[in-house]
Amino acid sequence: MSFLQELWFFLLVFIIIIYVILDGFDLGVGFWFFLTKGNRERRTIIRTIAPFWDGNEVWLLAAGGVLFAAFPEVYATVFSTFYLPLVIVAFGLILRAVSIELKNEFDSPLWEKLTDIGFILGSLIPAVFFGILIGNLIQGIPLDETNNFSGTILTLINPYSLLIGVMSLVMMISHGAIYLRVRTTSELTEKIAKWAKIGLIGYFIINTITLIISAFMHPHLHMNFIDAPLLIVVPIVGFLTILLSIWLIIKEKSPVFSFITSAISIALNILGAGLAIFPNLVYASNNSSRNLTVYNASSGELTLSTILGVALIALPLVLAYTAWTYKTLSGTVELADLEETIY
Amino acid sequence: MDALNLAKIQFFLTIGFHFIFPPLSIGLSWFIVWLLTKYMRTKDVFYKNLSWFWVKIFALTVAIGIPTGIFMEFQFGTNWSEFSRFVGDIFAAPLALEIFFAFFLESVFLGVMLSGWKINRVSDKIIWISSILIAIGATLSAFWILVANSWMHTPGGYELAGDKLILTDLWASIFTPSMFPRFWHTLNACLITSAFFIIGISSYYILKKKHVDYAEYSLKFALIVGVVVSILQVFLGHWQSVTVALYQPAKFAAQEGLFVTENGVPLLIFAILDDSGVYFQLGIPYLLSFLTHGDLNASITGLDQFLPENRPSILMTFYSFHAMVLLGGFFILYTLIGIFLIWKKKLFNQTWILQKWYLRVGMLSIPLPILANELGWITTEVGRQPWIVQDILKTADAVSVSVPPEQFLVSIIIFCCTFLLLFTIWVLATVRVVRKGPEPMEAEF
Repeated sequence: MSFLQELWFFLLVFIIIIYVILDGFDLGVGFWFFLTKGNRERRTIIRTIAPFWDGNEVWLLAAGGVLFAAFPEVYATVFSTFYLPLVIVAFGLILRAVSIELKNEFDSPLWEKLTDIGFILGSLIPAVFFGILIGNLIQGIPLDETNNFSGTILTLINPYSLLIGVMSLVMMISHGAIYLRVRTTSELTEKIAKWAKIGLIGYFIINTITLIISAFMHPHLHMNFIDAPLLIVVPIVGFLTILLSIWLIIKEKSPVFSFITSAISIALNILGAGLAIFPNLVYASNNSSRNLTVYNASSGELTLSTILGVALIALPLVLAYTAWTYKTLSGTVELADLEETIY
Repeated sequence: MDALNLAKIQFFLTIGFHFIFPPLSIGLSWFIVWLLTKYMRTKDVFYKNLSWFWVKIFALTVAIGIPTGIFMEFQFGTNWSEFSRFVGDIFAAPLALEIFFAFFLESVFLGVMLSGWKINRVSDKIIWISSILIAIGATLSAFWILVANSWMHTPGGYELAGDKLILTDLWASIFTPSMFPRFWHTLNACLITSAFFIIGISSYYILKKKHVDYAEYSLKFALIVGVVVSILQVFLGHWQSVTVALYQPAKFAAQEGLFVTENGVPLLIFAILDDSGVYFQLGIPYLLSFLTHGDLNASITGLDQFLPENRPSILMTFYSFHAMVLLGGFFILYTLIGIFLIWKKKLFNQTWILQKWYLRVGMLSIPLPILANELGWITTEVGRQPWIVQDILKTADAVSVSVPPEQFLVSIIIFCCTFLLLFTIWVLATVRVVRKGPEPMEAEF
């Protein structure tokens, strides 16, 4: 039983990693979209993510659904605690979806502007809010004896979670720039190469700050690394891969490699956070005996093994056909062939 | 207003709005599969152009349906945290199955179909296969969410362990007594919804004398499917009703307007009633007893058998149920007339004056099945009240305790504005695609 609970913790971390790597770049692209000028550039950018963003977003649902099925107590606490932020995230994601999919449905400059704004806001809001949510869970939130949140909305707005919010945003922005670098050619490329450098350096800085502040502010995150010092390799390698992607971008090596290193650094960062908090899923800031852990907040054995079966069949299948679509639909997108076309 | 009622209103709004779209897209996805299959077999571009037209309409529908569905997955936790704690062990597994086996399939291959088609980089065969996978994904999605919903009406495969339920029998929790009747009744309703959608749009073209060959094909197809599914719905609806009578007698009494337990109960056709009593009623004697138990004198449980606090609102349940049935009758009548007109070769006869009226009614009927879906959903959900899980957990005990009422209110306001805007955009965009009409593919580039 405890093995199943621990396994589900890491499967959940795995799903979150896939989500952040995949949706991370298409949310991050929303930021650079803000900096582009003119229709052609903007449509090029949208076109790079058009076939994929929807499938990427399903990983968010997968993370939420798995959390509900495997750790219903955590799902109930987290989703009711973050009621308003999640409403705003949902609002952002709706705006974004409609802005991408219906951008070309009306020939009006006003609609063009509105969908531009919708796409930008709809990309940035979730990126920041997910970070704030994770930051709060790592830092701890006050819980009452029924596992319900006992703070107010203001409790959730604190320096550490805002820092993680910014970290999440910058990480996705940088990842988005590298993705664009892979997918575009022509005159946009130079601009994007510059963005990728700026993005990565920003990511490097914020990542360094976050690691230092987390280590100093939150001693509860040290426990697992003290017990098993070898685990410290994960965040350190995560940190070093960012340097590697910076080097790859500056030396103008294959952009695909820098995308892969960026993805690895994201994966190791999230895994590092997971290793730091394990077996806790939510820290109770007021009383550590109320922490929600994989042991006290999970579903029963039958449910955990059932959904494990489901995941073991479905995950490889989904990953395989997702990989196939990327292979089929992701050549480079050129500005020239975009004249008067639908993204 | 207290948090409970605000949470209910918020939930009603978000689900109710979302539920406009999936029935449309499920039926349309199968129509597209049909057209593309025809194209693959005949290589006649007529079918390709026509399917591209319906794909565009379909894409608009899912462009609203999918993002409004995201929050559905969050809402069990945001609005009903105590429900989630209590039943998460059982209720969430079908949701996980829905995500892994339906959402991924639908979303990933939607990307392949739309982008692949637009940028001309994938073969016809891949587009055809994608359309099949999308339709399967959309249908499976309906299946799993209805599995979860059915469990709330007729729970099975669980036991109480401490302060929560745990799963003891997976199959019993999936194949609950109301699952199959609910699934087939709802899936069939999806087909009716899209049949009338296709009828309405095709009628518009024939009236305008535009794209007539495309429209005649679509209209004929939708009428033939429409008449079959509309008639089939009588039997599926009956199956559903008998299941309700057996497992949820309070809901059954409410939907049939029965306050007092009686033998030989008439089937009410029309009644004026509210939650305190019936003021006027018109019914067919003995019919309800006969339909439900096959015996003219069978006894049917009335609301008097339930404590006042355990009764659903008879006002809402009765009227939403009867309005749905009435609409169902209209769907049969309308499609039957259509088949008759096809048989008499009058349907496409532009000189015949009644043809115009028939088509105009067809256009105006587009929203009616959507309305019927919503009414059916209201019947089944309001009829289960005050329970959120029948006889196990009350809605009042399921609401999130840590969410202050103001937050529900803010959410209601945000979603109301968003939905009004989305609905307007969806209608305008659909109208625009319809105005452009089915065109050869080249015009897209």
